[in-house]
Amino acid sequence: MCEIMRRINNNLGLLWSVLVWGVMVVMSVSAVAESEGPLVVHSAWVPQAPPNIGVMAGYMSVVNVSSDPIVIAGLSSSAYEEVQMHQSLVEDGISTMAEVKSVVVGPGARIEFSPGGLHLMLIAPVSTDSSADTVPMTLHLADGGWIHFTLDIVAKTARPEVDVSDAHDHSMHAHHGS
Amino acid sequence: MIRMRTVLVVLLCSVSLFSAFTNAAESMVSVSPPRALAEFSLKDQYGHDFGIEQFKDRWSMVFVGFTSCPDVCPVTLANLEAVRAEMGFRMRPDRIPNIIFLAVDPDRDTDVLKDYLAFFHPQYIGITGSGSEIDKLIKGLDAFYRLDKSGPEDRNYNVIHNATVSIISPEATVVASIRPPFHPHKTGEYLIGIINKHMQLVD
Ligand SMILES: [Cu+2]
Repeated sequence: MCEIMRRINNNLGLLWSVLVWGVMVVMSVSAVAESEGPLVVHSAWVPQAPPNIGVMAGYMSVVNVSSDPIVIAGLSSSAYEEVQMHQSLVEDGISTMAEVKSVVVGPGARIEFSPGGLHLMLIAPVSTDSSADTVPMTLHLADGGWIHFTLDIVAKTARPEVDVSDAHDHSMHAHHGS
Repeated sequence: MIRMRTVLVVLLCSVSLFSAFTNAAESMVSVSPPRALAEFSLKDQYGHDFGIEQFKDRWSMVFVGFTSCPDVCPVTLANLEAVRAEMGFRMRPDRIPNIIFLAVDPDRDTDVLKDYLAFFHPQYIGITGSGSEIDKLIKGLDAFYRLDKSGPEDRNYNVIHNATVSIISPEATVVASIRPPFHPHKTGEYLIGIINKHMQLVD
């Protein structure tokens, strides 16, 4: 009983975190599909940050428009030394993040990388030039394919009001480990 | 025999009811009697001393985090800001807690804390210092963190930390702790209750 309630509480915690920034995805109605392939990346963004911050979290939506599962094997960027996929977790009141080695996007499925949940961990910026307004990214598929896209750099003042009316837990689609 | 069984059933039911209540309320726990913090010596983001004195004469919410926490920490800080905003409608401004970001990764936090807060949360206070002084406050808060370093050369390590936020009274005592989810209305309501009750007792 206690354990079940605790689990529910934890999940609520995670969900709530997802909700708060989750609206960002909805924001980018400009939703530029960066590729015409079976996996479409859109609403990709990263908060603007002071130049001396060593890591940032980026967010995006991916939609599999094909009838076969697609496996995201990783990402890279010329602007960061390393890009990882991470899942934020709150368990028993302890907050952590875990690397997710690959993410399976089922046929017709959409996966949201959104605040408090799945995110792109952008590690060690290569340059401190803060004049850019996008970050070039490459998404690598397990079948050897790749997709180029960009993250929009979003200033804090440009972020919309928080809307907590709609969200769903996307973490179930993530495939942990490789 | 039947009576025994009835008693047993009633007992079992009340036990499970009780645990349901404590669990539902578990995300917000009051500390009774309030627990006094021990001395500690840290610096705020402007380099000013921050010790037990700086907790006095105002309410504080202390959140344990680190500046290389790009995902959950900003979400939590924004949630706490929403709680504060909600409280602002229904409470004397001088009783609304300040948000204090206790940065527990001084190697990476000390140099960037000022910029980080100026950029994301200019109204918050960020504090950090030596590991041993951080640990004194962490102990007082009954909090937890761990630097997940793979070795001395590891610069991209993760920090595992409490998601819990401690509520500190103007007497520098811990009066409550709250866990996510931080719902602006529910959490705000709870804090208003705790704070007003405490002020009545102290007055
Ligand atoms: Cu991460």
